[in-house]
This record gives sequence, C-alpha cells and structure tokens, in this order.
Amino acid sequence: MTSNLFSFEVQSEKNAARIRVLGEIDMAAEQPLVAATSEVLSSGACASVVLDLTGVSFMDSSGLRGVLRCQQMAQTHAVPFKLVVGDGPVARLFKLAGITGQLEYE
Amino acid sequence: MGGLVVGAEERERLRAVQRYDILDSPPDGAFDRITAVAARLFDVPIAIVSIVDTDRIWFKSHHGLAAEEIGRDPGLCASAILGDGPWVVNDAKVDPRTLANPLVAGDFGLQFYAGIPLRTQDGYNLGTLCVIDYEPREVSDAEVATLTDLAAVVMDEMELRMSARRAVGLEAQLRRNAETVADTLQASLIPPAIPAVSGLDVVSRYHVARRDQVGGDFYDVVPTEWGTAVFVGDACGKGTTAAAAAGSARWALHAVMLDEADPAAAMIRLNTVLATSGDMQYVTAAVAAFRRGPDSTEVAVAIGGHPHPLLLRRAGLIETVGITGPIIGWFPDSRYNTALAALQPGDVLVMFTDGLLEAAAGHGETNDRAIREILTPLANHSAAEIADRLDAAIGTDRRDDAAFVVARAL
Repeated sequence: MTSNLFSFEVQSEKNAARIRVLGEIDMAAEQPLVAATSEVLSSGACASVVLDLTGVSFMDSSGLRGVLRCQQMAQTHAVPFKLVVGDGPVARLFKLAGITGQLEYE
Repeated sequence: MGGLVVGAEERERLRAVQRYDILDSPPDGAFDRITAVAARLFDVPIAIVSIVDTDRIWFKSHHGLAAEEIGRDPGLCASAILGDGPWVVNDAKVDPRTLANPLVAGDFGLQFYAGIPLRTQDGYNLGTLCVIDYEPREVSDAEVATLTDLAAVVMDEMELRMSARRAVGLEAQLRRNAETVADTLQASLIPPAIPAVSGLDVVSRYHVARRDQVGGDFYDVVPTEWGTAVFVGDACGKGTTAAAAAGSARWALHAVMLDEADPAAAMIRLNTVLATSGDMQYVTAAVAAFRRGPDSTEVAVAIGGHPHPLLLRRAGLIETVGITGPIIGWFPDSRYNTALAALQPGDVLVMFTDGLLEAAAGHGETNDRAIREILTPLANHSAAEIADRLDAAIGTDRRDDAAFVVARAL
C-alpha cells in the first residue's frame, strides 16, 4: 500500500541546504525524495546537505533506501551529507536496520 | 409474417446480438428514459426498445406495455429489422404487410407502428426502437428523423455498456496474469516443502498481503554436512524487483551455507555479492546454523538489519539471539557477528520478517513486545501449535507480507 502523505521543505542558507522531510516515507515517497535531493545537489551552489527526518511519522524499507540513495548521491557530488533523526520511528528503523553507525548526523 | 429462414446472414446477426450480451439483462433507466421520450414526442401510448432473438422479440425497455417479450412470428420488429431504414405502418388494418398479423387483427388492436432498426457499426440490426398506437396515424419526415436520432442514442448506450463490460473483462484478465506472475515469483522465494532435518522440528508459514503484488520476504531450511541452516529475510521494496532480489539472495545464501557453518561469515559473503551487483537493492536477514552436540543443540545466529530471532525456552523465558549488523548488500565493507546459544529439547527459535511485527503490533512497529506476549504462554508447545498461533495473530488485514520459521529442538 502506498500513500501520498509526505512533503519536503527545502531551505538554503549560504549554500547550506536543509531538506525537511515530513509524513510517511514509503514506496510512494522514495523517488520524490531522491529527486528533491538530486535537484538540491545539482543546483551547483550547494556546499552541504542536511536531511532532517524528525518530521517523519513512518518509514519502510523503500523509504530507507531513498535516504541511503540520497547519501550515496551526495557522496558522488562530494557534498557533505548529514542526517537529523531524533528518537522517533526513523531512529528505531535505523537501529533495526543496523545502520545507525554507518551515517553522519548533525 | 411466416417463419424466417435462418441463413448465414441471420446467424451472423444473432452472433452480433450475443456480442452485446443484452438479452435478459435487468431494466436500465437510460433505455427507459429514451422510450418515455419517444412516446411523449409521438404522443403514442407505447414505445419499445426491442432485441430480435432467435425465436422471440425481447424488450429491453417497454413503455406503456406490460409484456417483456413476444414471439418472433407475430412481432412487427422482426419485419422492421429486415430493412436498412425506418419501417412505418400508418394504418395496419389496411396495410397488406400487416393486415393479417394477429397483433393487428386480434384483441391487441395495433393500428400504427413506426420502427427504426438498431444498427451496429458493422451493419447488423439487433432490434428496433419503435412507437405503437391503437389508432392509425400519419408521421412527418421530421418525426421519423427524431425517432432515428433516438435509435442512434439507444445504440450509443449499448456500445457504451459493451465497452464497459470489455474493460472489466480485460482488467480481470490482467489481474489474473499479474497473479500468475506473482505466484510463480513467490514460489521461488521459499522451499516447496520443509525438508526433514535431524534434531529439529521445523514449521514455516508465508502470508501474502496482496495476491497481485509479489513481496520480498524469503526463507529457507538447508540440510548440510555440518548441520542445518535456517534463514529468514526480506528484500527492500515491493513488487517484482523486490522479489527478484529476494530470490537471488535466497539462493546465494542457500549455496554459501552448504559449506559455511558460521552465519556471520556467510553474511559477509552474501553482502559482498549483493553490494557489488549495483542494483540499488538491499536485503535483511537472520541466519541460524543448528549443530547437534552430545546433549544439546547449538545454534549460531547472525543478523543483517533484520528483526531479532526470539528464543522461547521450554520453561517460558524468552531471549533474543544475535547481534544486529547492517542491512545486507548496500555497504561493501559491512561486518557481522555470530552469537551462540545452546538449545535444550523443547526450546524453540522463532525467526520472522517485519511483516509479523507489523501484523502483531501495528503499522511501522519495530518492537517485538507483542510477539513475545504471544509466545510466552506457548512454551513447550509443538512448532505447529506455535505457528498456528502466529498465523492467527497475523490475520488477513495486512499491508505487508509476513513470513516466519519456527524451529524446535528435539
């Protein structure tokens, strides 16, 4: 089952981009999330990206893959990429997936 | 009228009637409105949408008439469909075409009939839109033109209904195809039957959330020279891509475990294979290696981004087994650890996918408390009894597939 209950807010300040992700990040949200991050990275003037996932109410394996793809893209662009996960469902999913230590946080 | 010879042409026409699948269909407001309009425009008591069948004339709509069909022989519609255009009888009692017709000469007393053939796009007349009166009357060319337009509306409605039926049929066919693909793929994710393994009673279950959408859960039970490997996994995402990744992971792990008794070492090998495939997929898995000792069974467990297997002791205590390592097939340098536990006869290892967590505890749940609560009272039960209780907890209303394997030490 997929939903369209997600949204992104992109803020840029002095070439530092901050993408705030809200709602349910599942199969329906994976590609839009990757596209939004790709757009930020390709804008040229982007020196760092923070993906703020504290507003995510649900994330499944497709959503997690979306986040990992964003991280991979930033790496390809040689742009520092950091996450904010809080202590909600995203933090629990990262723990279950055993990837908490594999990513960088703000 | 006389009996009509059913020639090749009439057989084709009857085939066209069948194609529209309208005979004996329930009343339909759209057709009833058309006959009501026709009756009002012509100021006649009766208006009919008729379909001429093999031996009867069936009325799709019959305004001002109780009968739902009449025999084909006395019916005037059977004559009306023989031509290409309007068939008008102004005064039936004197018209040589109709004066001997029982509907005209008999009690019914029909004296006026104007019918327009309902012509299909490929040129077959299915029946008529007709107006009938008990008095003789004249009709103008304009009135006949109006009736002709209304007959065209009747045909449009019939075409629409046929298209809708075809679309529904096509959709059902597509769904059946999708289900066949899903079933075939799904069958590659699990063994057709659990092999008999020494020292263990193993029961597995697989619950599919949607039959037309294949999921990515997989498991296997592999008898080897060193003991028995059991693993449960889940490929990220849904659909055929996820199922293909799950199938690859299952067989890769199956092959590796044949000569690798250390689950962590097997997981590292699987991770290397999948991480270098470049397919943007990862899987999660819990792998257990069972080896029979002199007085207990030793189980070694490794976990890659997957829910912990639960060890239900014969006395009712529940322990988690294994140390969580990263999801498998994403980071090329992932490392995994093997944890050991000794099983006494009656101890049970339960391995499952996150679909069971969600089904037992709710959407997005990663805590296994609900599963522990189900398992605790099942201490010292058979593997099949435990599986039955987990099945009941999974229920039917799920958004994700769920799979589990219950292995009880004998």
